[in-house]
Amino acid sequence: MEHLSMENYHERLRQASANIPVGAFQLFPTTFGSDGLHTTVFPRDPSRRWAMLESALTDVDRPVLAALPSLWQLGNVVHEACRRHTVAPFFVVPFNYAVAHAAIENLGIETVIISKEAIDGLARHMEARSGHVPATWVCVGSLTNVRVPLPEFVTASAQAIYQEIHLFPGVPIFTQCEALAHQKGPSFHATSGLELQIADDATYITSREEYVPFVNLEIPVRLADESECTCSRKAYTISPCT
Amino acid sequence: MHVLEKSIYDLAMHLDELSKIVQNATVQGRPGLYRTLYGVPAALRSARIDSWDDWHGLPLLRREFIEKIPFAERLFIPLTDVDSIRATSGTSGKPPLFVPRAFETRTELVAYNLEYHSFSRATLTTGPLHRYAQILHQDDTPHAVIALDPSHIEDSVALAKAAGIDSLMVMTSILPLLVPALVAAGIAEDLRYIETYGEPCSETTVRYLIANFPNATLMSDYGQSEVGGTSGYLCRPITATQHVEEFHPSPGVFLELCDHETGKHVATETGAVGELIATCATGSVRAMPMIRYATGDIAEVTASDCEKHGTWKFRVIGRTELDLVKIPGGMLQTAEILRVLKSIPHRVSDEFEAHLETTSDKPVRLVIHVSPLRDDDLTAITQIVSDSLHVSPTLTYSMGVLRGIYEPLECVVLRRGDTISKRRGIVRD
Repeated sequence: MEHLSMENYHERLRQASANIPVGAFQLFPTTFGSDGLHTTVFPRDPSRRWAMLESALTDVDRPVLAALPSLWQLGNVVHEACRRHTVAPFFVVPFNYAVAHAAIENLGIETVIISKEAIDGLARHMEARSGHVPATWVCVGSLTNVRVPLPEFVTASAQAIYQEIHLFPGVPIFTQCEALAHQKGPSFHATSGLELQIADDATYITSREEYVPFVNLEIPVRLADESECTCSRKAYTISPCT
Repeated sequence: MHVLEKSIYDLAMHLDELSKIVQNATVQGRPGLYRTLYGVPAALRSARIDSWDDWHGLPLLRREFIEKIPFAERLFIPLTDVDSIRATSGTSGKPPLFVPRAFETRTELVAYNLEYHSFSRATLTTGPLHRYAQILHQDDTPHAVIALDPSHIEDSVALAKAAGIDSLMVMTSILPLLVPALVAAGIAEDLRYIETYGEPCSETTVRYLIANFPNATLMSDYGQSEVGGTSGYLCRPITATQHVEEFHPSPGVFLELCDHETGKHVATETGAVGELIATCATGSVRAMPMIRYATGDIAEVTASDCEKHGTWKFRVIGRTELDLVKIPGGMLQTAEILRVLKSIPHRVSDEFEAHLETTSDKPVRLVIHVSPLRDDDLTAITQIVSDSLHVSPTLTYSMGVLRGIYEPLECVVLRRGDTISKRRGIVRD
C-alpha cells in the first residue's frame, strides 16, 4: 500500500491552487494558524454542508455564538447552517472573551461554536464571573490537540458537547453524533465518505470526493476500535502517535 | 449619476418617506422603543410627522437609550428572520451594543463600488465573511471572498494569494501590518481596488498606499454597524492630490446634521459643521430601524451641491465624545487640531496624537505628536499650530500661554510604531 505523507499532499494542493476556477469552490487554509507563507488552499465543493453543526442546531431557537478564527474561512458555512435552522449567528473574535461572554448573557445564547484553542480561555473567563454555561457546544479541534481535555467548567454543566477533528479548518475527518456529544467524551466516528486504514503506529485516510483527492494519507493519530454507537456507526478513541 | 432604487434625494425631497418610517416604527403593537423615546400616549395609534419642523423636533436616538432596552424588545422582525447579529466595535471603550441584521443582498449597496471595480475575482476583507459574500455575489459572475484574520496576517495573505485576490476591503487600522505582508507575498501589483473603512486614511497613509499599490483605485467607506455598515459613499477615488475623503449619503440612508450641544438641526450648507444623524429603515436595518440616530461623528459639509452626484457631501472631522476635553479657557477638540494641521498640508500630514496634562495647580501642558514633511520644520509648525488652535471662539492656544493658563505648546515627531488607534486622538497623560 502506497502512503501519502502530509508534506506531499500539501505540495499537491499547492500545485493545484494555480488552476482553481475563481468562485467555484469554498477555499479553506491548510493551516490552523501558524504556517505563514507556506499556507495554501484546500478547495471544497461549496454545496457541502457542515453536518455535525446542523445536527447541533436542530431545535435551537436562540442566537448562536460563533467564536472561530476568521482565518478558517468558516463564516459562510456557519451562517448558511444557521439560516437553514432560522437562528441568527453572532460572530466574535475567538479570544475576545469579554464580548463573547457579554453576548451569551445579553442574547440568551445556549449554543456556542468554538475552537479547541479558545474554549478553555472562555470557560475560565466565565467561571471567574460565575457565568451561565450554555447548554450546547460545538468544539473544533485539529490533529495536534486531540488529547487536550475540555474544561471541566463546561463539561460539568453543558448538556452536549459536539466535538470534531478537522484535517484542515472546514474539513472534518472525525466527528460526533448526538449520542456521543451527550457523552462529552473523546469517542468519534469517521466522517461520511472517509475510508480508514488503521495501523499500530498511524492511521491512513482516503477521500475521493475532494477536488484534490487524498489516498492513504498518513495522519499522526492512533485509533482504538470501540463498540458500536447507538447510531449504529463504529466509534473510535483517538490518541496521538508517540 | 448613480442608478439608485431609492436614493437619498428621494428621501430628502419626500418628507412622506420619513413620516412613514416614523409611523411604522411607532404604530401600536410594534416594539415600544420609539413610542417610549417620543413619548407617544398609549391611546395614540402612532406618532405623526407632518412637517420638517416636526421631523427636526423628534428626539435623537442615542446609543445609551438603546442599551437600556433588552435585545429581544428591540426587534422589529421575528427572531427567526434575523440574519445575523453584529456588535459595535467597542473602540470607544464602552460595552458592545448588539445589533440585529436582516438578510441583505448586494443590490444598490455596492453600486458605487461597481463603478470602479468588477469584483470578478477574489476579495480579501476584514469584514464578516458571510456579509461580503452576500453583497459581492453577482448573479453570473463567480467571485471569491477571503476573510483576513488580523491575528494571522501572513497565513491570510498566503491564502489570498492562492485565491488570486485583486481587491481589498479592510479596516484602515490593519494597513501597517497588511501592506508589508502583501508586498512580501509579491501580489501588491495585482491589486486593482482597495477600500478602507473604520477611520479615515491620513495623507501619509494615502501616499503609502499609492507607493505600494500602483495599480489600485483607492476608495473609502463611511459607516456604523448600527446603521447597516455603510452610511456614506465616496464622491471620487482618493488620489495623492485629492486625498480628502468626501462622502455622499448612501442609498436609503437619510443623513442630516445637528448641533452637538443643542441638538438643533444644522442646514447642510457648504462649511457647516455638526454631528451626523442617520435614519435608515431598509435593507439589513429593517430588523431594527434607526431613526435620527446620533452617530457621534462630527462632519463638515464640503459642498452643498456636488456637480457629479447632485447632493451635498461631507468629510468626517472628529468624534463628539472621545475627542473633546475641557481645559481652562475652553475645550480642546480633535476636530480643531485636525483643522489646523490640514491648513498647512505643505508642512505636515494630518495624523497626530495629542498628549494632555492637566492638574489643578499647574498650567495645562499639551504635546502634539505630528508627522512633518521636513524634519527641520518643527519649530515653525509649533508656532503656527499654537497661534491657530482655538480652544474657544475668542481664545487661541497662544493667547492662553500669554495668560499663563497653558505651557508653551510642544510639537514632536510622531513615531511610526505609535498605536494607530490613538492617531487623531487626545490622550490624557
